[in-house]
Amino acid sequence: MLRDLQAAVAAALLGDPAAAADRVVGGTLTPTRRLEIYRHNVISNLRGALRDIYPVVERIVGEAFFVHAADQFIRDTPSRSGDLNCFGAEWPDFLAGYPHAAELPYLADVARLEWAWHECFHAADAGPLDLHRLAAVPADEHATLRFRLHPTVRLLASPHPLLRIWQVNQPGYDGELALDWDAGGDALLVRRDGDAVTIEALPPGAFRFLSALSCGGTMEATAAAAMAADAAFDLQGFLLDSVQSAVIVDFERDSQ
Amino acid sequence: MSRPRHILPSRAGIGLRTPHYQAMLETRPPVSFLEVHSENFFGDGGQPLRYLARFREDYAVSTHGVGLSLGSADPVSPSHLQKLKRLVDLIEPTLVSEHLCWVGIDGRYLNDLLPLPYTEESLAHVVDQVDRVQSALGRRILVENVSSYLQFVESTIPEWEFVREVARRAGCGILLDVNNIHVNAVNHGFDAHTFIDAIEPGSVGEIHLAGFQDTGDVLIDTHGDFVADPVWGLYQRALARLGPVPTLIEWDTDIPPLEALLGEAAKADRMLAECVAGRHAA
Repeated sequence: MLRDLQAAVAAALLGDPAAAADRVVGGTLTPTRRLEIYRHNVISNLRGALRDIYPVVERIVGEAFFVHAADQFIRDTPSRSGDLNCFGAEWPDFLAGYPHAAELPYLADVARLEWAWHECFHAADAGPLDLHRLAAVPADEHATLRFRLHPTVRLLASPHPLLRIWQVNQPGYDGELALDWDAGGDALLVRRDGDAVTIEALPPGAFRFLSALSCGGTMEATAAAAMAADAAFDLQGFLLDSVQSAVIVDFERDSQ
Repeated sequence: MSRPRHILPSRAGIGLRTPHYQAMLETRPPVSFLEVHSENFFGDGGQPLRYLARFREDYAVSTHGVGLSLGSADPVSPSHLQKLKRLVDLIEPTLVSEHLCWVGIDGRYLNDLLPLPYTEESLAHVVDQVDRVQSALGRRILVENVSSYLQFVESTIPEWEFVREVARRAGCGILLDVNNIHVNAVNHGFDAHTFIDAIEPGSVGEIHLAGFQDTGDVLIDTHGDFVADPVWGLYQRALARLGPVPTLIEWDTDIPPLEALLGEAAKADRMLAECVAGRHAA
């Protein structure tokens, strides 16, 4: 049966190619060798997908380490789509638990940033917020407005100096290599400006504000969250900036 | 201005790959059409779709899927099909093609073009799947014969008959990959002419040409080199049988400067022109 054969071949290609040898015609090459060609293709395609999405992780750990880790990840984590762009979402969590990466505690967060970059690159476009629509909202409803972030926006907090790690590991970077590990963590905003993905560090209040918005919070609740993180947070100024830079692109009224 | 829809059958197209975007935009070479891998444009927005829309203003486009897994015993993934439909509706490609293979099973994907066992069961199943896809897209698709490095013991039908029958029964067209025929003929020891001679004129909507790698004991379909001489020979034989058919130069690994692809396309153009002239003379 077709399903039975395909299940046997799939298991053999991700495990032991010899296991499906009895289903394959030999000839000038043995059945196992023929299956090994496919095994090689399968692994290199999946590896290639990870390398495309996670170049900074590879730069940090080196090719040999990356390939070794990738091969274990590929064995443990099935690809669930015919679209390779969907493969590798679990790679950051895999690295967080990967014993050989224990000495690089920031590595999983670097991978999270790269996945955020990847998602951001392919996310939907959106126009700027309609200011006329906003101006038409009565003042007594402002507190209950729920602002919507641009579909490309991703927010990422890390206890490590993630942005610096990212910057010094970009191709062509020739600046200072020293990293201040005591500089504290980063709260990052990843978004698209036109077609280009940008990453910037946010102060605590701004990060909490956008995080609360991304969870669907009302203006009142998100402002309170931001103030709790930073009593001096300039809500008006940041809101205006976020609208102008199209980080905020829409809003919902509870009354509608 | 309306988008170009017509593909000149007497002029070759090329696979559109990101390293060539800039050169393509600057030089606008007069190729007949551009082909893209559908899945590379499955995202919701951003640069890939913006570039594709820009090229689409000037060129007819064909979308070529690598992940639909028509031959899997699993039903075609509804979400994959929905993304393909979204792309097709957006870009309005002149041709839409998929591979006659399986890519995953039981929800687990191998993301490689795996050959089918050529049996009556597979044939009936693939025909159903193609039918489902064509209904969902509301248009005819082409299915491509794949390269392979193995054959299954349980196969009972020659590959060329399988390909021909899928097209006959499902009412789809064939994307005849001439390089894959050569690769398979060498790898499995059959006469490539037998394959081409089994294909019905009128059933082929597109021809693919690409380069392979000879490892000494097997030919690997790398799409990483110039089209080999025996493949050009087979191509001429295919044209003699089928008449002029939209032809595409594929190059996906070790991608050379754009000029190399255009050179291959020009070579195909000459053979297409000879085919047309020969038909007029006959």
